[in-house]
Formats: sequence, structure tokens, C-alpha cells
Amino acid sequence: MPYYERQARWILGVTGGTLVIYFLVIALWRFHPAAMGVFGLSGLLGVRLRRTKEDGDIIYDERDRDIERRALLASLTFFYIAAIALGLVTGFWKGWESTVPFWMVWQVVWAAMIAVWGVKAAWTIALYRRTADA
Amino acid sequence: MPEPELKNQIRRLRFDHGEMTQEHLARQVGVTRHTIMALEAGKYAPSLLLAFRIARAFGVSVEQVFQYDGPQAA
Repeated sequence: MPYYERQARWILGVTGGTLVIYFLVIALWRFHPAAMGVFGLSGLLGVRLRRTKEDGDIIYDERDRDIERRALLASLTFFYIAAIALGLVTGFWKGWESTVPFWMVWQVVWAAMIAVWGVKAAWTIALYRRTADA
Repeated sequence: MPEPELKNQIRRLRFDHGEMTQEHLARQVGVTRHTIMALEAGKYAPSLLLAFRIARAFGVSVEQVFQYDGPQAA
């Protein structure tokens, strides 16, 4: 398995786990400022998987770069569509003049960032599978 | 990634060159072994630069390694 596909699987695991725990927390304790603490788990995104066999070998080339670029484009497309949809839905649902607590805005921003990472990782894995040798 | 309309003779050329391994070819042209595998399986269309590097690694012309299999330009 290519090194960057393995890395994408790790990122997908971290982002998926973080979002699941976050939604569990807000399901149990409702929206609460402290729920933002769950996003501390996203620090695990910085963990680099240990390289073993790849040491000294090329682990990133034009195909990896192409896949990375396409996955980034897919994740940004997701972000724009989700941001517009969320803005419209909440606007029409809650009213365009309604207000929300500041901590809630930040929680949504955090959740969106994690989701964008997750979509990019999922797309990366899909592209690696699609262009795999078998 | 667009479906490559590019056939290639990499597997046969590796065989003709003393059963050169994918690993060896990958190192020689500066890519990962997974990219060589994807190329041989016809799942990835290489850049022009990589195509030339592969041809040079086998000591042949690009046309001897890659053949375009798509529709004619209008």
C-alpha cells in the first residue's frame, strides 16, 4: 500500500473518530462550550506513520501529487457546498436575524475543518484504489 | 483521474531487459513501485517527462513504450 494511502487511512480514522465522539458528546450533554474539547483529538492528525520498508526509497511521486491535488479539490468542493447549504438551511430555519453563541460558531468551524480533512482522506483512498494495479 | 487511452509495453520491456524488477525500474525513473504497477495495469497515464524517462531507461523511443489508443483528433 502506498505510504500516502496509509497516511490517508490514518487521517480518515482520526477525523471519523473525532466527529463520532463529538456528536456523542453533544447528544448526551446537548450543545455545550466544553464539547469543543473533543476537537483536541484532531492533534492526532499530526502523527506521522512510522516508515519502515520505504526508508531510503521514493515514497512520493507525480501520481501521489496528482491524487493529492484531486482530493484537495474534492474536499474544497464539499466545503463550499456544505457551507452554502448550512447557511441557507439555518437562515431559513432559525431566521436571518437570529443569533447564536460565539462558542457554537467555533464548534461548527472546527467540525467543518475536521470534515474537510476527512473528505480529502476518503477521496485520496478512493483515487488510490481506482488507480491501483489490480 | 481520466481513464488512460494509452497502451504500454513496460511489462514486456522489463522482461526483455533481463527481467528487470518493478522496484529497479521505479528507482531508475524516480517514482514509487506502486506507480510502475499502476502504469503496467493501464490505470495511470504518466506525465510526458516520466514517459521519456521510462523510454530512456529501456534505451528505446517513447513510441516503442507507449501507444495512443484514443480517437483521432478532429
